[in-house]
Amino acid sequence: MDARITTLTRRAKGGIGRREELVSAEVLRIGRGSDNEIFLPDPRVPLHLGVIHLNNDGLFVEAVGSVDLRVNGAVTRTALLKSGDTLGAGPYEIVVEKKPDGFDLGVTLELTQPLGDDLEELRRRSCLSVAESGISKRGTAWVLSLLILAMFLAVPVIWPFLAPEKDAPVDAAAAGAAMAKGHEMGFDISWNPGEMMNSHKFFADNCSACHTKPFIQVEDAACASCHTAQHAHATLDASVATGITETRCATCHTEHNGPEPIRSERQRLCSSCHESLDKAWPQTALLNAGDFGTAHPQFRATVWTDPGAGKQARISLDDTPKEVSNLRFPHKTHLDPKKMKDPETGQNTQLECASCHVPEAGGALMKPLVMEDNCGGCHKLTFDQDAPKRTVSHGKPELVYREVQEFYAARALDGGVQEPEAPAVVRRRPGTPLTAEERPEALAWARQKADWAARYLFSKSQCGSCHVLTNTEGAPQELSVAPVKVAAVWHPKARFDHGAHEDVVCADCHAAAESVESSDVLLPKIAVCRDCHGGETVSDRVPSPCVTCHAFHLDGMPPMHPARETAAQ
Amino acid sequence: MHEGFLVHSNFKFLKWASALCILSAVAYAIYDPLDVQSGGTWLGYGLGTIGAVLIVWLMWFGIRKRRYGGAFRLRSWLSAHVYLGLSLIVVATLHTGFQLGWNVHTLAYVLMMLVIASGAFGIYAYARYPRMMTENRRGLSLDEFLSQIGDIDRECRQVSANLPDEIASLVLKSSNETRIGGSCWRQLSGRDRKCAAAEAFEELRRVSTNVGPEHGPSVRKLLTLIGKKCSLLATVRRDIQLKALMDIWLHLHVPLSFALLAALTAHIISVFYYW
Repeated sequence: MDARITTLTRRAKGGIGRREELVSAEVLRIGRGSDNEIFLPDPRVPLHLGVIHLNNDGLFVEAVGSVDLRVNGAVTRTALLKSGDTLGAGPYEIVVEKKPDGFDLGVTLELTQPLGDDLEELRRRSCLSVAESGISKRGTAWVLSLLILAMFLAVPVIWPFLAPEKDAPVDAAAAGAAMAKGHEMGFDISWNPGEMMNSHKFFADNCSACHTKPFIQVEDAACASCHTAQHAHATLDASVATGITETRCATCHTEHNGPEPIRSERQRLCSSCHESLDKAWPQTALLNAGDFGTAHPQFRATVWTDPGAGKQARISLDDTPKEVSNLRFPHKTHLDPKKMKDPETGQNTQLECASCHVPEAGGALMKPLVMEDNCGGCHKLTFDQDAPKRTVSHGKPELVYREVQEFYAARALDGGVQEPEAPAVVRRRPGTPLTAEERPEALAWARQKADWAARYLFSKSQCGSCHVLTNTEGAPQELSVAPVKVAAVWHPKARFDHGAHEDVVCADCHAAAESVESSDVLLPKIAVCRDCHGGETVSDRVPSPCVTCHAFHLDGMPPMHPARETAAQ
Repeated sequence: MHEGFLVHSNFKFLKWASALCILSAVAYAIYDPLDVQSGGTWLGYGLGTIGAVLIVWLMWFGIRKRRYGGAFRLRSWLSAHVYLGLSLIVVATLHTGFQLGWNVHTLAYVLMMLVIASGAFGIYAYARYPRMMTENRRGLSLDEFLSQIGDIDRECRQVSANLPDEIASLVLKSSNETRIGGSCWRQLSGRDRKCAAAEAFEELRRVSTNVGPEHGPSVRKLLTLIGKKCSLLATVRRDIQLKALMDIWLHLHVPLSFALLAALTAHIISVFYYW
């Protein structure tokens, strides 16, 4: 088979080079190997790609092995070739020409997809710097910034206008309930700077419950919409004069600082005014007070000075205040076991403080003493030696007389009185009816006995052992005792929690064992407290700022909020 | 004598920054708020203002460095940028009062710390990697390495001209599929686990035992050439890695700075919006 093989080469400047080669062989082999008749020197071409045969039917091409041979674009194993067919061999195109004269076959081959420059290609495939890898500083910066501004600024501000509260609180009473449910999740939750205190958590995701006006600090009205019962610290004129009205709730009550109550306990909140209160508010009856350890005046007890006239006074413990309670009670006697006998056994007994003084349910204060519970076990109000277990009730004097009168009237009516001095009419056999003539005599006896009993009861032996007797010269039914006044709390302006001090022995603070007068005010002086307590900065004792004992909001004062609004006007 | 930005003017800005940190810490220790330390106390507002002004001024460096002239030399600016930027760690942390949470305020703080961390890495990178790059390249340029690789590819093709298809295809794979670098991550990793040249080398070594004796010398030559190429590739990839490390911090530092500026804006506006 004779063939003419024309190789076309495209030049860089645009021309086309032609190189003709005349081949005479049995078959025409196509491939990369130099032994091929149709030599395709490109690494992408197999060593042996195919073979062109000539037989009786004409020219046909046959692939060698499993290689990619294309005839007119279609992959094939074998095909008949006619002029104009295009044979694809890797990056080469082989076109079958019109049969030239004197040859069995004429083909034109051209490298249509030449290999690029190695260096160029390597660079094209590679990415040699971060900047080329598609990461853009500018782009990332824009995306991040806009995302943050949208999520954390624009949306939180705009959202309430897009989704307004459905049921806005109408009045203060409904405010709390509305606060908890009258809102939906807001995007401003990302602004929450810290955990809210536990008792405010039920509306913690409703920022606008407190933050009502943009760029305005939380107003007191927001607090007062729930806290309606809070009392002011001082009277209106004192508040205005000392400038308390200009202090916001949030000055002391700061939020978003964790689950603990949001009350500032710093001493200087109080002492900034109270250290020199006489200058800020000269009318005050209060003494200047500052650090508990160094600048607190001696305690002053509020005692009854004239209970009949309803007069009380605050007297410094240094001035040994006396409470006029109209009671006699020597602590010393009652704590002396030689003088105390158990009413049941008759044996000497030691009374303890706790025999009478029992804490209230809350544990802070002591229960008020009651005669029947605390004294009546020993001090029995008996009045008749023939009826030793019979007592009168501890109550109003006129009722006492009525009780003994009724007792003796009943005795006279029953008869069977044992007293030898008694008239026969009351000593008659029990159950015998009284005649009309006998009645006045029996009644007279009953009255006489009642009068004796009343005089016995309202004597130093019975009532008078504890009470101040009055009207001792009067008629039996007019005998009485002076009204009793005992201060329920001697320090009404401070709190003291007995429960918190339960491990301290009573006598450490209360000098009861040596007290013989009931008028003794058995309170410890400030020095006793200072044994353990100091101001808020002490390190060797219990740091005790003002609010350890004193409250800011005082029950006796006008309501906090209206007072402040009035003051503002 | 060359004076780096770190020792500029006898550590003038290090002294300034230290003074700022110490002042902030002392103020924090002395200041006794009514409740707890936080960004909302007067000291908190003060430290916050200093921090915000510093951040804006530090970002101005991005504009300043693109300008010529100016009152102070750029090295002076860079020195101040580095030391005062580091001082923000103290100023901003004290501003928070150590109150951190899942909110926009902590987002701003975390972004700021990331910006500082990326900047600190930048200082480290500029101090350490240029020398490592020089040592790695043994005095040649990257282009010289690349053209060496290109030469090897060409030579490989010539050698493989008469070799069996199996081997020719490996040579083709080595020269046509080898990539250097690529994605940012791959550049930073300094290697290519699917390096075409390395795979071709392994494959060639495997098939080399089966080739006929007439191809033996050519295959051995190919093995030498592709092995050399692999070693050149490792050097180039290490170079790319070091360069990427020197670049990547700025690609974090700058976008994070702008993210910080946005978060800072949201932080400041939000705390006063809900005062």
